[in-house]
Parts: sequence; structure tokens; C-alpha cells
Amino acid sequence: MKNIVIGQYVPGSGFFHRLDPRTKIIAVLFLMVTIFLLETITQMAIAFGVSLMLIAVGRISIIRVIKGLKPIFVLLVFTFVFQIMFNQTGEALATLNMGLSVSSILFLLAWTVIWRLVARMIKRFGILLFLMYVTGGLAILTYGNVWVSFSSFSVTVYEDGVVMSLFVVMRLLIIIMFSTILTLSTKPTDLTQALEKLLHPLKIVGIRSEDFALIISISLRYIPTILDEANKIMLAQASRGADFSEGKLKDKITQIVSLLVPMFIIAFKRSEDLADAMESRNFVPGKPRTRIYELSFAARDVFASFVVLLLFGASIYVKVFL
Amino acid sequence: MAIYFREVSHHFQAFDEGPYQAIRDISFSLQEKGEFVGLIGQTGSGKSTLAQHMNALLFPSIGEVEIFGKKVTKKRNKKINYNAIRRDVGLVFQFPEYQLFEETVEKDIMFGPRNFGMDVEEAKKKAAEVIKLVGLDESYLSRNPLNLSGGEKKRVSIAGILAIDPKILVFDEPTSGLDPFGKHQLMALFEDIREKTGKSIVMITHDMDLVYAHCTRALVLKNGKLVFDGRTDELFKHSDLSDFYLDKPQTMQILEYIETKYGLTLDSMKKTPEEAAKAIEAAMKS
Repeated sequence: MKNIVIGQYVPGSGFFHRLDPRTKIIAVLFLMVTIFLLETITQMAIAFGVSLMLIAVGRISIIRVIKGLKPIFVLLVFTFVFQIMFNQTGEALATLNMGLSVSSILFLLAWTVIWRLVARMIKRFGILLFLMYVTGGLAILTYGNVWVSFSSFSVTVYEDGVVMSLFVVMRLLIIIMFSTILTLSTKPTDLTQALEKLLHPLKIVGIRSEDFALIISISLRYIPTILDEANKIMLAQASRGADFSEGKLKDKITQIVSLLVPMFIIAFKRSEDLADAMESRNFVPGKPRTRIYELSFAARDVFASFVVLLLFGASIYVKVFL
Repeated sequence: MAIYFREVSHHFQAFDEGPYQAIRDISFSLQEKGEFVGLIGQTGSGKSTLAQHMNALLFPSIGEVEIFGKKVTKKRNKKINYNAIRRDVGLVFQFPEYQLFEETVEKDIMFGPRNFGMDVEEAKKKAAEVIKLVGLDESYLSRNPLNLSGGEKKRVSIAGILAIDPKILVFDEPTSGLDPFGKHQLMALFEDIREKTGKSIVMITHDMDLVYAHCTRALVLKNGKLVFDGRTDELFKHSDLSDFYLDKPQTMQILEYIETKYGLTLDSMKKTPEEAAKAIEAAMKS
């Protein structure tokens, strides 16, 4: 519970770290539109290369970016598989004649056992092992039907399917990469301040961006605190025999209630305390206030905006003329 | 011996600065019966962390804690029922807000016993029994624990652990937030439990008077290290307690002041005002 990092900001001094957060937010929006304007796999591959270069330029650790991709890994795999399976146009590349039989089921079982054992022994590279397991499983379904076969089916992979799936997966990857670069290189507080400044024009329609920024920064500030409290409550209830991992469903519900009720009470109490503390220091919502660190544009922001506009223009150009 | 600490260290992962050593290299043992241990030290010296090792809420990063024959180490052992350890060693947390959640005090007290498999009737009986032990009457059982005052909440949270009937009791600052009367009532309860059942009690506190008056043994932590383990009177004979960021009990301070101010020789190791007065009288006569 302790290692949940909010906003995943990593301190550094690369190009993106020094960029003004306002520039970064606008740039990411523009770049996303740019990506959605692209139409062919070659263009997408170039864009992919460019975003990899951006990571290198910003001296952002590629491992961090890959870690950021982890949560959507399943989504990526599903997109890939479904695109391959349902795009049935173009040239047929390969046909796999698969089937189910007693022998292939036995092989599959054995393969699963081997996979679990190896996964338990080697704690890392779980994703890689899973991919190997899936590939092996497909191979078994294709070639393992040597004994008592009872059904067979075939899967054909078409050229368009492969191209489309690569296209979609790359697009997803690029977008996630952009947002990861943004969150890795920008402090959450800077992000909210930038949002506040960017949404400032909304006051014409009566929406005060300062209030939103305040709400966001307070909630960001209190996430670790509340997690810490949750941890303490869990320990206190575990001390009274609440076992959050085992037990019947009915017991589990009581135990979760025993965690939630104190959490809500503490959260409400904390918010009241915070309101009192702010009021006692004469905090007036919506009043203009100064900051220790004011955001400021520099030459590099102009340069970055120029590059982004160039990329954006290029994508419009290829969309219209190619 | 019921609890053994063998070279136990625990570090927390801090966000930026790497691991933070809360306690380091701690070894001692605790008997099941007859001990009344004061766990003292300055704030942030690791007292609470140490206490949470006593019922396996925290696992040592290095070393081993043996609790009633079950060895708790860094790795979770599937053969050990950690929940059973918590029935043997009851730990009351400092802030009751972290545990009170039911609609009535009775239900809240029953939460612990019910988790450990006691049936409803028996748990109800137990609740009625322990609520009186902590100095509240039975009318409290039907009240909402969240609407009680701070001191009452504290008592209810203590009752919640007493109802489990653990073999050893560990209290994290049980007297904080209690008025002087409640404090003495609680200490009387501890003495009573000790007298009737002989159970060992461990108490974290900053109140040297309580430690001196009630505890038989003192464990002193300083910056995560166990710097003193021994009889309470020996601790307070120690000439320079400020080494440990501690203070002498009030009675001793007064007696020592009288001793130097009036040039008397008297025995300052007295616990109660009556004893102190007698010591002064004896010194005046001689």
C-alpha cells in the first residue's frame, strides 16, 4: 500500500522537466490530435519513432515509461488479438488448422503446469512468460492433435488484420507514452497550477478555475495521507482479528465496513480541520493570490511549441495531400 | 517466555530518501505472566513500531520475533495463522478513531470476539463484563461509539481488546486523552488485571510517574535502539536520564530538590506522596 506513487513524478533535469507545464499540456493535446490524423502504417511507424526519440531527448528512463504501460498491457494484447481475428480482408498470410483432442488437452495441461512452475521460480518477466505460454498453447492446438481428435477449426491471419492491429497498437502506445512523459516530468502541483492558468478564460462563463485547481491540489495532497490512515485502520482492525485476506464473503463485508466507516469519519474530520486551519489564516476562496514559484515561459517553450506545430502541420499536410 | 525478539530491525520505505530504520537490532524477551513493562522513549524512537511487532501486525525486516512458539520473520509463512497470534497478544492502538465503526458500543466490543469465533450470546456477555472493567456503565452499550467523548472512546477501544481476552496485553499510550481521574482508574484496572489473571502488560507511555509507580520493568528506546532493559527503579537511579530524553518522576524530582536545598540525606526512590512524606520525616529526625 505504501508504494503507490501519486502522479508518478520523477525528479530530473531533462528537457521536458524544465519545460513550462502549460506548454507541455497544450503540446500533448496537439500531439494527440496529430496522431489521430495519421492514416497509414508507415506514418504511424514514423510517429512511433519520433516519440521514442522524444523520450531519448527528454532523458526519461525508458523503464519508467514501460512501467507506465503495464496497466494497459492487457488492453493492448486484446486490441492486437481482436484486430487480427476480425479483419478478414486482404491477402491471407497464414492459416492455422487447430483442433481439440485428448492429446492436445493433456499437452495443454502439462504446458500450464510448466508455465506456473517456471513463473513461480522466476519472479520477473511475468509478461514475457505469459506470451511464451500463449504461443506454446497455440502451437499445441495446431500440432498436438495426434490422438482422439474431436473437433477442429482453422484460424486464418490476413495481411490487413496484421497491419491494422499494428496500427492501432502503435497509436495506443504513442498516446500512452505522451501522457506518461507528461506525468513523469511534471509535478502534480505544477500540473494543477498550469490547468488553473489554462482554464482561466472560463471565468467569462462564470467558472472559476482557481476553485478547481484548489480542489485538485487538496485531493492530490490528501491521497497519501488517507492511504496512510487506511493502513493504520487496517492494522487496528487486524489487531481485533479482522482478516482482510481470508474468511467467508459475509465476514469479508463486515471487515470492509470496519475499514470504510473509520476512513470516512477520519476523512470528514480532516477536511473540517483543514477548513478551520485555512479560515484561521484568512483564506478567502477566489481571491487573487501570489505564489512562491510563478510559471514562466522561456526560449525552450517557444522552441517546443514550434516543433509541435511543425509536427501538427506535417500531419495535416499528409492527411490532405497524400 | 512468551515473546522473544531476536536481533529485530524494521525499516520503512520512504518516498525519496531510501529506507527509514524505525527500530534496529532489538533483542529481548517477555514473560507470559507477571510482567508490567513500560515501553518508553522520545517521540519517533520506534515504540509503536516495536509494539506492532509484538502481535505480528508488522513483520521484521531483519531478525525474528517468536510469539508463543510461532516464528515471525520477514517472509509470510503460510503455515502460521497470524490471526491466532493476535488473539494471544492484544494490541490497543493509540487513537480509538481508527477502530470504532459499529452502530452501538456493544456491537463494536463484540467485533473482536466474533472475529475469533465466539458466539453472539457469549460475546454479548463479554461486552457487558468488559465495559464495567473500563469504568463505564452498561447504559453505554446501546450508545453510538462515534458520539462519545474522546476519553470514553478510548475506554471503549480498550474494552474491545479486553473482550478478546488475550494472554498478553499491549497498550499504545493508553492514558493519552484521559483526564487524571480516568488515568488512575485505568491504571487501577491494569493492576487489577495483573492481580487477578497475572497477565503481562506492556504499556507505551510518556508519563514517567505512571512508569515508576506501576511498571516492574522498563524498556527504553532511543533512535530505534534498545538502550535500557531492566527494573524500573534501576532506570531512575541512572544519573543522567536526559541521555534517553527522559525525565525523573515528579516525586523523585521533589525529593531530590528537597535533599539539595535543605542539605538532607534522604532516599528519593519513593513512589507515592505518603512514602515520600515518610522519607522526609525520617531524614528530618536523623
